[in-house]
Amino acid sequence: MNAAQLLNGIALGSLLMVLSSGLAMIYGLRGVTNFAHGALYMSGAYLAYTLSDRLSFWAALVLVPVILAVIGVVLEMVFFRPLQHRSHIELGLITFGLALIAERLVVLIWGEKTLSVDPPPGLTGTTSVLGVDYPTYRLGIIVVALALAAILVMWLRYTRTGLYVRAASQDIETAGIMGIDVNRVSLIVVSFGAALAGLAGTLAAPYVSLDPNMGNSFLIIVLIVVVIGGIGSIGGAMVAGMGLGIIQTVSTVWSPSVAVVVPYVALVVVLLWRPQGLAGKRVS
Amino acid sequence: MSIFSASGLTVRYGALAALTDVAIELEPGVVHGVIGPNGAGKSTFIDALSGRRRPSSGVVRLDGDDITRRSVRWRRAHGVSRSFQRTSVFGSMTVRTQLEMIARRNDEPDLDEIVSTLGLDEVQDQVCSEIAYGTQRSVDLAIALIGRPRVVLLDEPCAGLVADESVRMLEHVRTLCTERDVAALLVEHDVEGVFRTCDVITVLDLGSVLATGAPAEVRANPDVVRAYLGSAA
Repeated sequence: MNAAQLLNGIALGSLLMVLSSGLAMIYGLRGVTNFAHGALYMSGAYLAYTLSDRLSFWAALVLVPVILAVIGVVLEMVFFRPLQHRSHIELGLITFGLALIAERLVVLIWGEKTLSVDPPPGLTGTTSVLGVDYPTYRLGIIVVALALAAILVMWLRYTRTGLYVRAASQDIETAGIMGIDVNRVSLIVVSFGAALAGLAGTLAAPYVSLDPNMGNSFLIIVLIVVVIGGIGSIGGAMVAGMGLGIIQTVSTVWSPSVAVVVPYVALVVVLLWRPQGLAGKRVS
Repeated sequence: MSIFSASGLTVRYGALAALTDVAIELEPGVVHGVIGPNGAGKSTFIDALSGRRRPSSGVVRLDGDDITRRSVRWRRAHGVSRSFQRTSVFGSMTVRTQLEMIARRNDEPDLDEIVSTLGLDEVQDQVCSEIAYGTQRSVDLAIALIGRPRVVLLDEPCAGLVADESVRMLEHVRTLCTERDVAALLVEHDVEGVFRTCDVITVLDLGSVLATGAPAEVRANPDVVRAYLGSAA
């Protein structure tokens, strides 16, 4: 293993970290497995494609999360809030349907062809890190994602809203009774989670190729990350995302055919060893 | 007129009537105990009073106003609080963090008094899921008392406590209720504890009120002895 492979793993891990922490937050608050999370990521990537074509990549990096945050508000107001007392499986199915619709919309707008986005000028070359020349843009992904993770952790730990998010994730009913406006907290979390997915999509756009199935294939890995991390645990999702990203990339180098099953093996092993996930609450 | 009352309270689960025509009146500074054998409807009763379960018929009143259809949240905001028969509501937070959070949302000027009366000073900075079970129950009681509620509904605060913890818990209930002039309803399995602590006792059996009155009267009531206490009590 050389440093470049390790960095590739960290880059993938960074994307997984951003995406899965959003998913874990939404799950913690609304109890919904948001199967549309992959579609949000995909929409982010496609929007980034168009915006960086028309304006610039930097504009996309700012605008896409904003647009996705608005989509998050719609998700919360139209689906999660009115349906919060329905069973989780029903809501899960609805988000699954939304993901399929989003995929179709992307095909209608952008077509089925694989697209690619150029890294922004200034980040196109390579940089020497740990004795290897490594694509500068991927370093950019790592830096942005890690900064984002740090901001997220600080926000949850040290702000009042973060405190309410933690309280509501642990027990939304009691938090509501104690005077926390859980609908407001949930609105913030769902739109923030969607914005994170959009940001992950934008970051990924110049790194991976864009096709209408990119969201759902990535979603499976993200779901595994969330389960391994401990359902509803944001910190656990971050650690598991980074860990799985590195393990997956490194094992691809060693044996590509084995690497395909690595996430699933990791899932089985972790669940046998620690059924509640790395940082999960005990299964009651 | 009592501060908090219910009359004609009936709750049906399908064809089964869990509670039939139950009435109760709570007064400030008075601890009102509710006892009864398993299946007597105690949990249903406290659920109906706290708003967790809509009664099939009957009225719940606060200051004489009908609040039967008000939500748990509304009741909490208007001074009717309940304890949770579950420990460490926000288990991964420290005691201080969660109490301060709830105090801020519910306008509690004197959190320190609650904390010191319940003896929680020493565990303030510990994570709630890691402190002793009995202490977690005290945190629960503290949560229920934050925001100066005028009515507190306590659902088995001594469940799972050993004897001396149970005694201490009921003493705390007694003290805080008197000091803060709270109308308290105490549903409890520990019959002796209820007789020792409460000013008024209601005995439920098969979903109806068997007797209500001062502890001595209730203890002497022949129906209560036959149905519940047994002749040795």
